[in-house]
Amino acid sequence: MARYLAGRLLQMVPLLVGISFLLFFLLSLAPGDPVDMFIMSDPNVDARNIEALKHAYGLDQPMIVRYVKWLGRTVRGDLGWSLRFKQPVSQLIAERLPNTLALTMTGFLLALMLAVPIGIYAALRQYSLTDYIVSFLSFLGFSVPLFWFGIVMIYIFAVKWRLVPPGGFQTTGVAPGWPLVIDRLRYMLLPAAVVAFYTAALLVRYVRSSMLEALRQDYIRTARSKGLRERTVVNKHALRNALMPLVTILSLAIPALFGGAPVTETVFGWPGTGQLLVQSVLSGDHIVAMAMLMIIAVLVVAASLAADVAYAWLDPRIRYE
Amino acid sequence: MVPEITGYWRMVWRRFRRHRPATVGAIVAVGLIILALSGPALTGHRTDIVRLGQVFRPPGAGHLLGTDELGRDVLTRLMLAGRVSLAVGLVATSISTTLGTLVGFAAGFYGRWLDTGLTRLIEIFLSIPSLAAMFVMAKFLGTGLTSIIVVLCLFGWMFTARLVRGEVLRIKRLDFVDAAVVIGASNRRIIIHHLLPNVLPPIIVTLTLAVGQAILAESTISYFGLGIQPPVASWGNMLQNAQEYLWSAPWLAIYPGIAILITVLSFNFMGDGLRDSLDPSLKR
Repeated sequence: MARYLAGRLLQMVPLLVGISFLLFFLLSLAPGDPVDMFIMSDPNVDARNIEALKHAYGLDQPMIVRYVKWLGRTVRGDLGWSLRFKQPVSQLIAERLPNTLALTMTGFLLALMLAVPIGIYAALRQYSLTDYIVSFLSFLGFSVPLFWFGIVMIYIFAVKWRLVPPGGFQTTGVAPGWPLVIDRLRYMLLPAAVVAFYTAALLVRYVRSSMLEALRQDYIRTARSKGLRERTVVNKHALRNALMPLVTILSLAIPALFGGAPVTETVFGWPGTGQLLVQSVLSGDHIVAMAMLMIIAVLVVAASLAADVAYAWLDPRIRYE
Repeated sequence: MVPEITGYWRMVWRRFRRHRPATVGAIVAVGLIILALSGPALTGHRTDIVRLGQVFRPPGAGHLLGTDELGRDVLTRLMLAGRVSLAVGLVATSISTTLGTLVGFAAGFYGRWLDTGLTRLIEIFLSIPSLAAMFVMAKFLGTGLTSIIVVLCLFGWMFTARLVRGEVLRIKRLDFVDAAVVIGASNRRIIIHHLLPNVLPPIIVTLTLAVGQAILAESTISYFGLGIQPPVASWGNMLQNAQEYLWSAPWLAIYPGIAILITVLSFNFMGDGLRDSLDPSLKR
């Protein structure tokens, strides 16, 4: 196992270098660099000053030189400086991470609480009306354009019924303590519901199909023929095995927890990392975009390793040598 | 060999017709394509002229789904946008699935260094956040039909490639392929006559499901202002300003989204039905 882990960790290095090069290359293609963005606010800037600025930031150098420099800095833990926000990138991300984690973790927890019992119930009553309704809702969940679903939620709950604010993060001037917590929760309700619905729609299908798979196994028949109660068969024998693939799915969701929900955060004006990524890509703040994209990519690669390890740990039949 | 193949496809067709959601999905998809193609001919409204006297008419007689901020009929624009969104979805997925199939075959069949290289490439593309990467690429390529199709293909091929590679690796080891090698069949013949027919079913399923994904991606990119540009309508860019008018003209936000939802849903149901009916191991 240790050898296997070491091997996988070593393989991650060229993969991450490849990913970072591709991302850097893509970003270098996109028009507009931080200086262009910077001078847009002041059209009277002298052309020579622009040259000087670009030179100062090293933007006049070829892509490959800039990439090597970026790689050197990043490996040492320096993510760079955002010209748009006039802040170090690491500080910018650190400021937004709590907001994103609050949103995505609430959404994921809600999704789990919905999807696991519903998925199991649907599997136990396959081809029943409930099963069909659950299937239909789940299809609805991943066929709906997320940004539109967000807009519709805003329309129903904020515009028509005026139950919650239409977007944003907090009301200005709310007293700290409990009033602030309640205020934040009101703002988080809709975006968290969107994240939860979408995630639950994906999860419920996995839970349902892996429960069906587990119920088909020989050991279930054995357990039943031993005369065990159906409750015991379902809870002890089927459920434990059915939830194993779920561990994989959940560990693969880790990147989304930190990377945030770019579309949902943008629609609701939620100041998280996902919104930061979208804004920095759209506005040409490439240093921030690169940092965010790379953090997500590292998490994706690490999560897939974690999923394999977790699976081997949970399933005694799997051995990595 | 030949009658067996027709037998298989006949069975697939029979199962597909019995799959209620899939048949409904197929009928709806065909209906949507017909509606999109008929467009202004059916509604009798022109959308290329601004009528300031008719802005923000709520849905009702004359304008079934109301008018927008420039007095254009929403239903007619929805149909015209459908042409764009459906065309983008269908063309982009056809190209990216073909590309993915080629890469998958190259990696799975020829193996060795080609497989190592292509597998790494697939891994790299699977690990990057695709939505943001699509935004970056759309900014570079500019707006328009061709560039959005290129963007969708660039970040859509690797799912098919991974699937096809795995299938080719699996089928390559089966006895009938060995038999074909022994009787002296060329690589070309083995790929086209022995491997491709066996890999085709899962490819058809991913292709159908990918159409929905592509339409969703296009609408998201256009919603953020990087895809199809007005005055050309797409379902995504019709929603671009809709959030602004949510208080005064909510119908502008609601109908384009419903169009996307119905379309994607119908392709997803079709894909689901195809998965069930193409799987020879399922008995029903």
